Amino acid sequence: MRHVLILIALLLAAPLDAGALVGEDPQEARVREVATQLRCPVCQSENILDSHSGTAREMLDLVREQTAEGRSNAEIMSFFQTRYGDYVLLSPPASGPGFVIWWIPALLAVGGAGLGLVLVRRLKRRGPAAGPLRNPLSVRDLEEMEP
Amino acid sequence: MILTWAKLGQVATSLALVLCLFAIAQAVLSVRRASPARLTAARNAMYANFVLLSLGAATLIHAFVTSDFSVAYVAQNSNLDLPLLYRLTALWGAHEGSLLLWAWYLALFTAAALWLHWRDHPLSMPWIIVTLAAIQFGFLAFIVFLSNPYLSLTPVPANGRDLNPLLQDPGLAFHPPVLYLGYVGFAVPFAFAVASLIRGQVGLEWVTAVRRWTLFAWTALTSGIIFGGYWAYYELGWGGYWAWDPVENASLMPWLAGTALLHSMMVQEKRRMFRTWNVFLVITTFLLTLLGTFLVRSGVLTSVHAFAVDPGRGAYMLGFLFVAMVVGYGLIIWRAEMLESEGELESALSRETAILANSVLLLIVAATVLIGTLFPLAVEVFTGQKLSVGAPYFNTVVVPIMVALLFLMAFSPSIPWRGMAPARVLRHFRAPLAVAALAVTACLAIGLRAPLTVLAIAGVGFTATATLGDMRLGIAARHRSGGVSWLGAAGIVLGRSRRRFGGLIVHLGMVAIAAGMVGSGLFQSQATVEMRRGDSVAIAGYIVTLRDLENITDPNYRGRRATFSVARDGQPLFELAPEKRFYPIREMTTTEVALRQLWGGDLYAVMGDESPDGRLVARIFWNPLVSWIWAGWAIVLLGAGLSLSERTRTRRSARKPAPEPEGVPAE
Repeated sequence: MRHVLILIALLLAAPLDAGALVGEDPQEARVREVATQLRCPVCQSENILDSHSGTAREMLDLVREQTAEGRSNAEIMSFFQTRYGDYVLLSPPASGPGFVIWWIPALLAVGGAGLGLVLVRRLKRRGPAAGPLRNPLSVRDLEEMEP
Repeated sequence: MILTWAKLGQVATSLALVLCLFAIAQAVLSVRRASPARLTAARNAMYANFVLLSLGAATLIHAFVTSDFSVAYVAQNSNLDLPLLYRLTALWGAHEGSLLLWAWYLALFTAAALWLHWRDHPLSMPWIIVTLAAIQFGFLAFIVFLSNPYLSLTPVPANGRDLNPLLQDPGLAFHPPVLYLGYVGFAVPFAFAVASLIRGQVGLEWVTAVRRWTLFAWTALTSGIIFGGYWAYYELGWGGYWAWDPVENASLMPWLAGTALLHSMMVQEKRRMFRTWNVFLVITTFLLTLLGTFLVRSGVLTSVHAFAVDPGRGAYMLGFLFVAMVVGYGLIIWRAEMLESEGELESALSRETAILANSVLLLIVAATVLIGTLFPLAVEVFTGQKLSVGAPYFNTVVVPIMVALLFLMAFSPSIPWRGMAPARVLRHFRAPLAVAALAVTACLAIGLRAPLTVLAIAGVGFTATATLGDMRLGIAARHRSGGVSWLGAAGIVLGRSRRRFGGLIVHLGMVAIAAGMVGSGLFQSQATVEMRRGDSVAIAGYIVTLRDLENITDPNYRGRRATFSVARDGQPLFELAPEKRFYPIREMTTTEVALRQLWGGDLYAVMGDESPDGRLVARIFWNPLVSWIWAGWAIVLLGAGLSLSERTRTRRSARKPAPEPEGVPAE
């Protein structure tokens, strides 16, 4: 696909201008993956890919270098973590105080599910509701199903 | 000292503050001594409060328009070269003015609520006035004593410091006032709920009275958030619209709670259930709007230290929030025994259950966002350690719940109240299930494997089909029974079942927004490339060629512009011309995105740095389906408007006996 595009582009560009088709480095995708997980230490909640600051540029270059050296995402992240502390990770590690924000939503979800279970249990104990419930819906019902 | 306009504004605002106290006293005494005259006096004080605050706001606008730099706030946020539009919008361009706007909105809504509901709710009225006046007092005291927009500046500077360049944009000009419309709008339902809790009449009255207020506030809040996203998208230049920035989270939290409230209130209205849940939700929503205002306005988000620089303001805001929280939740605990439900859940497959699940999920998201936003602050205050909670965290935790909510959105309108037999439910959802299965197959066929991605796409198909199916069902029933054409039937149903169809249209809009988010979130492509004049880059089938780099000048700024030409299949299509601007007064650089909305998505170009030898770093994005988000918003607005146009009490089903006037005293 890329080659086709390049070919098309070259064909297009040739009569228009003498410029070249520049492409993104294939490793950029991985750089981006890592860079969006890292916080620019001098900005307001921006990752190092989106930030225009000098520090972010330097960090981005380091990510590029290490990606080119074949380091894994986790290795690169832990490199920055030891250098700048947990602050640099946009998704806080579950070790340390960060465990709180990982556990609370999980507990809430369990609590919500528990609530649902209790309600359904109570329903089952009472047995199915009688009355108009199983009746087919009337035309008006269908038309309105009034909220 | 001669009386200036600004001084007049200050006097008016201070007087409004005193009037709030007067209104509270009169309203309480009207109950104590059973004196209607005192209640009228309290109401008139709140009307006067609105007039005075309008005068206060008008004097500040006057100062901006005439560039009266003797007013410190004007000197800090305006400039002789600033276009008139931005001089007007500069009113809410910074802390002091935006709080004045908040207070003015509250005065407006208070006056409107008293005028609209005066006859219908005489017994709740004193407490509604007390609540609204107390909130107003809290804000005005803050404005007058700690955040005064009328303070004068000596010596008077020759020119102002200019409005923050980021705010010199029509998108941001209208984001805060619309967002605040939503924030402050929730104060009215809150006041009604508090009044009914104080009176011990926690029945239907407050819920039916505030249905449209709640929907109005929700619609404004939704619009404000969307405007903010739109602004971020074309102004900030990072290719997205939502960054899980704390400022954004601050507005999302009340939206989540408000959405839960909007749905849960219907259960109380139709089934007399969820009383506690509803007062809890309305109080929580209001507290979250206060938290949102304070988080953004106290500077605590920029850094904990900015908060500490002005400890008076921060402490006041925390105190205010604390009092509101104690009063709100305290009232629920005090009245706990009165909040028992009359109805009960009868089936696991019923609309009430679906709405309950919906509110539980929405509250879990709200709690997650709250914790994720405040936790780093708390850790820093208590341990000094700095932590970040950003987009990767929120995406991991929140997105799965949102996908579940997307599916749930199809259920509540389709399943009737009280319950439906499982076999019927299955039959009812045949078409949506088929579409969802088709979507899953298509995803797998093109190589998408991530379960969440596949589920999200299936959810969009499922809910869109179910919602359209519900609309078709309603129209078809009228078509068959009334012997009218399909178009006629649609017209009749749209006119008669405005709430039902308004809700379905809103859901359809939300599905469009979800589709836009799925498309742009999962299928964005981007290229960061170094280019010389004449170089091209290929993205999503388009060839983007850098044509020119030039200087630009404006009275307000100077900068550079890059011109790209875009071609596809050999056909030159259009040009993109992103800019970089430098505002000398504030010494700030901003990027101006160039974007073109196309059928499948947006082509989006941002200028980066230039090297001396004429190479430009450009970021080009292909953002699929982003415009669906904005289109979805327009659909939401349409549906909400339709639903708002129906008065709650005007139409009751003729077959059913009229609901007991539960909690409504003979008045």
